[in-house]
Amino acid sequence: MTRFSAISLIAKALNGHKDWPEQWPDAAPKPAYDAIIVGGGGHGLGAAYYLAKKYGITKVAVLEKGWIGGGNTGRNTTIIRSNYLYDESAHLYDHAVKLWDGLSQELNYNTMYSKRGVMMLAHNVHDIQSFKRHIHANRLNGVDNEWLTPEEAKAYCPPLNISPDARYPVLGAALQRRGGTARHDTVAWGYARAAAALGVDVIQNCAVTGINRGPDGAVTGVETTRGSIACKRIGVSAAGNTSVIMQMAGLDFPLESYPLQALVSEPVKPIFPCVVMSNTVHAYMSQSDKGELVIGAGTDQYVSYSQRGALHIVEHTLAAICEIFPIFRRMRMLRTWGGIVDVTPDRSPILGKTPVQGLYVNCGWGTGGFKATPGAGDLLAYTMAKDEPHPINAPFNLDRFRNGRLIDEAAAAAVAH
Amino acid sequence: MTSYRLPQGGRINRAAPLTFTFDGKSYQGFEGDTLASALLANGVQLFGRSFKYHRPRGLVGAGSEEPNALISVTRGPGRFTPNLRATSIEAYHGLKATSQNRWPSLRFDFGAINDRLGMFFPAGFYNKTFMWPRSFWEKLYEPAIRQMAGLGNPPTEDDPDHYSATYAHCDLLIIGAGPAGIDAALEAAGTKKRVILIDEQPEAGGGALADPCLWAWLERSLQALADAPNVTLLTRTTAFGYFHDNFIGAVERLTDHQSEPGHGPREKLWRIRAGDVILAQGAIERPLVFDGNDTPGVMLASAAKTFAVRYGVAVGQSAAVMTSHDSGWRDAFLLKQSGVGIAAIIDVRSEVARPLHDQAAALGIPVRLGQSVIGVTGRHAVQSIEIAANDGTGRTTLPCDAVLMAGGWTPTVHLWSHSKGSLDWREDIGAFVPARPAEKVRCVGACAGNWDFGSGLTIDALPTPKDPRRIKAFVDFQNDVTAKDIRLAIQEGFRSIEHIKRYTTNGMATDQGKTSNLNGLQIASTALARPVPEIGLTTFRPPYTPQSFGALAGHAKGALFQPTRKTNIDSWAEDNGAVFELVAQWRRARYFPQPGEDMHAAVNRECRAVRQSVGIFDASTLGKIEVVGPDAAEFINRMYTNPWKSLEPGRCRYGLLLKEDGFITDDGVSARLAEDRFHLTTTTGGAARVLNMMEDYLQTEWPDLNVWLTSTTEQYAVIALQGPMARKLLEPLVERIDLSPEAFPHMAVREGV
Amino acid sequence: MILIHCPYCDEDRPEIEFAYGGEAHIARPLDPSAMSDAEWERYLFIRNNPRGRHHERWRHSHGCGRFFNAVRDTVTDKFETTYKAGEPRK
Repeated sequence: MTRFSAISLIAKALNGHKDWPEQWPDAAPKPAYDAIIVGGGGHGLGAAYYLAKKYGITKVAVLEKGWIGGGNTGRNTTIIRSNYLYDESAHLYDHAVKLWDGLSQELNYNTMYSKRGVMMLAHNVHDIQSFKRHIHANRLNGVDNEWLTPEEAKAYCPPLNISPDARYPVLGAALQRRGGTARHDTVAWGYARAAAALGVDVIQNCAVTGINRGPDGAVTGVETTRGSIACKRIGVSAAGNTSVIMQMAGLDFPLESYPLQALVSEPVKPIFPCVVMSNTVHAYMSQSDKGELVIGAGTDQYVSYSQRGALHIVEHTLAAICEIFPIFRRMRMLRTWGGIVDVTPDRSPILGKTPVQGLYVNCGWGTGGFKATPGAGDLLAYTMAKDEPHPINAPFNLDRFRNGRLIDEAAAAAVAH
Repeated sequence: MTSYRLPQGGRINRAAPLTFTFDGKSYQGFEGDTLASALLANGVQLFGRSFKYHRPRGLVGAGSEEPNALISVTRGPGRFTPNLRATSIEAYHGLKATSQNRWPSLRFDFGAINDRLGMFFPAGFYNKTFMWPRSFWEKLYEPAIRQMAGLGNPPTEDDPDHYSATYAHCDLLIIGAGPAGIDAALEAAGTKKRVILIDEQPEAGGGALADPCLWAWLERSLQALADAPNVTLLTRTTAFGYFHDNFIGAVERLTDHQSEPGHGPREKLWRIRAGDVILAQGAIERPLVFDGNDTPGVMLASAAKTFAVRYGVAVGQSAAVMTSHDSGWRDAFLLKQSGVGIAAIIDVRSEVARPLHDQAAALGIPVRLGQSVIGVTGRHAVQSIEIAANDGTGRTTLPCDAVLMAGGWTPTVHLWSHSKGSLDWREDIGAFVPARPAEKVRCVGACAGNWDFGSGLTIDALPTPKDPRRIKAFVDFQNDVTAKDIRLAIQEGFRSIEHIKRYTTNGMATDQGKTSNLNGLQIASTALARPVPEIGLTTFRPPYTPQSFGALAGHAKGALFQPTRKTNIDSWAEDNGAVFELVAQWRRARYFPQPGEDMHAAVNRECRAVRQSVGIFDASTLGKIEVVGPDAAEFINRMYTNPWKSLEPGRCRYGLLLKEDGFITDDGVSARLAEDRFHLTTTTGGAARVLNMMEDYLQTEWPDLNVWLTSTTEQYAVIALQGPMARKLLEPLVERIDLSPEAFPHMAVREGV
Repeated sequence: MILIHCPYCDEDRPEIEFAYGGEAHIARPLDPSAMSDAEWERYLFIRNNPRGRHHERWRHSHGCGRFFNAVRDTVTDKFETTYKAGEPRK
């Protein structure tokens, strides 16, 4: 692997950039692997990387039906935070935030993790009480979160409208300073490059069409559009398509897939320094390093795999944005797009073993999977390597829908995030 | 300064001159000009700076495909708009326009240092560096990158304009009022169909506006459409998105072209549901890829034709035409006939049709076949070009002041693709054309790949004897993506066109790749040695052109963002100095401070009043559902966790409502008013949800139960009277109710007047 | 915004008049206490979530107020049919 640095960039530039190698080889499937990851998003590529890096399993293939990072990794609004209410959730997301810090250096790929702060707006007395409860709960878990008055919130994010006459006035905000954003594509590419350097095969245009199982029920491999591959450990990290993959192993899952839209404005010079979210008004926004305002819209109400949403969702989202930030009314929407989010009944992910021996799953991240990327990858790798969940992801097992130990983060996920 | 206004011609109104400013300098134009045509007429060729390298840039196109000439317009407080295309800004008297992304001025921009160092900033350079030392990313690198990026300045004040929105229904929606769209509308005129014809330009006509032979036809046709009562023509209206089941979003611009914005809405959102849709969006000419193709003065041949024919402006006095397509020749002929000097027609093809030769000879235009432009001299304007034969020999220099590129045509299939219609690759025209529809829609004219521009050669980049790694041949002008960036992406293993797009940012600028996508695809196809259809096309996403947040938000602003629900007692509370709080969509009196009291003092006083005498509370926001019918008690008994059948009329009970999974979803005190009649209360935010849940069970699980559910939330005001004096306070106010504790015990209900 | 045919009103109406009601034809157990945890889990949480034909419920909440069933393709979002509650699965 050619090391990336300013020095290598200059050296290669002087040579006309003609000897940059492939960042990762376009691998063809081999007959057998020690572990297969289904789904070449950030989570799956991360799992492959950590399998090779931390757990010494290097005969690993990542199978991606299209192009890596082409699912929700490349379609989200890149928000990173860990200010979740319940202990289990706080531990899970903060594990990821800790890994985000330093990820660029670890992967030798600039993922542009920017700790610019995530601010959640309170618009009524109930919000204030709820956010203060979150702040206290977070602090007990070692997760930073602090309360801001409206004036402090305005100072942190000057475009904010804090007029008390607003339809939904800003009564304060909860700020997680370690929260922020990263550059989504680079996360997939960075993991792919680092994993490939450790021997992982990143195989694109390879859709899984079946999961093979032996007489004892354990997995023996997969059928793909590029042939059969033998393997005793399969980790499925396929987001919106998880139900379809799981049905190949005869498993019905507690998941539903919904369309989620996002949009960006035309790029402008820096105006918006942080991430702002409002669950009550249903809006959240940041500004990318390129200058685009990045805005998340809501989900459509029906299940769909069309990666396409309705206009009225966008109308409502922009009305909400203009309500909180009236100076942006003359900004223009440049591009909208849709993703498929897989949602569980309690809005918390499923990360662990399945009833099928050798089949592991990482799914159900709903609208909030990007922030968890390094953590989910690491924990899926751990679970596959040890055949048992790490204490952090142990509560996020599939059994909770049978034994009732749900982790109900529905309130935290009231708006897409 | 030389005037480039042609002595005659054009559709501008020469009797209506106007004055405007660009970067503070005053210029003259005419009614009917765009900012682009008016500045060109004044000899201005430098319109902006590029995103990354801050290279000087002029116009590429003449319409909404323009990638370079991004301009800010200001018209008073709060009315600042960045990133508008000069080619789409209608000139008006008093227009104030400024260039962007340059400091200190458009001609002398320090940012252009990036261009000198451009070799160190190839595609994806930021992935490879800025990682050391670690703490510098947030403190130094990222702020610097953000400051360099971003094109125009953001608005900083509240927008005083307002925006409108409407729904429309029609039997036939035609998008694009060029010749094909107008023909389709004429066919439907006089039928019983409701027809809407929309076009993004201020004047209907599309390509016909740049063809004087069609002007008489155009006038007749538009008159016929105006006379047809079933046809509505919307100009200055952009159909920006094609959504499910023939639902099309369009924005009409109402005031931006006027000297005074007036008091009407600035823009109007049209949500159109159409029976059938005809797309007649035309095609966009493709630039050619060669070293220096971004120099101001290098533009599309069709754009130069439009400027000459429609606006009466010469883009130069001696223009060289670089073409791979017959249309370049025809445009050259029309330009020459309009009074624009043509230095030469250079065609990369070694053979072209005889009539083109003959006409060039007749017009005295020198012709060079089998040759290509390999370099452009001039930084802020074209001074000359270097030409070589396709085998690299015979390098010569040709003085000229403009280069007109004619690289073939790309059908505008954006809306077709939004609708999920499939595309087929047509090798003969080197473009994707509509194939199978997914909605009731068809394409006509150039956007279906049907045109009379002749034929041409599709080429990824012009041949050059220079080292392709050392030249700057641009593909995406705005985002500064060069052919070598695309090749580098492929060299580094980015093979999917989506990866190439994301790694290089090709096609991700504010023009969304209208002039760059196909060239990028051709270059990738060559580099990968795979045919274009195997590489695929990036997905088209709404909007077709950028649309303002305000238009999409429409009326939903301030008090209209969401209506504030008020209780029947609201005005009394307001008159008595209540401080309100928001609960769900309602506002509710929270406490009543007396002079000098803060919230705690007021709440303490009110609590003491409840303890010692009586307090009142406006509980009207609670949801209320009336449950009526012979099976009412049975129904409620099944819904709540606790028993209800034994509840006697006149008594109340607290009820707890669970979801199937056992989680509490709502609660409230409910009363049995009669044997067959219950009055249920829900939480304020839960009213609609609870009614829906009850309807769900009643309709789908227990349709045998004889029960009716009615929301009565707004039919009753609710005053909670609390405290030892509650009965006494109520007594004089009601009749026919015995309020004694014996007759009206705890958890009882009585009706009276 | 999809167009939905309400089988009670017998009209095509825009989506904003309707509320989605989740997967259809999930029979509520008559005696939940007799079910195993696995059966109860299946009833409460397990969903088909198919790519393709999906049986689902809608309510014409800003119209007639009635619940009905539909078959819709989740890849194209196109309705195959809608039918009244109580009619057999199509």
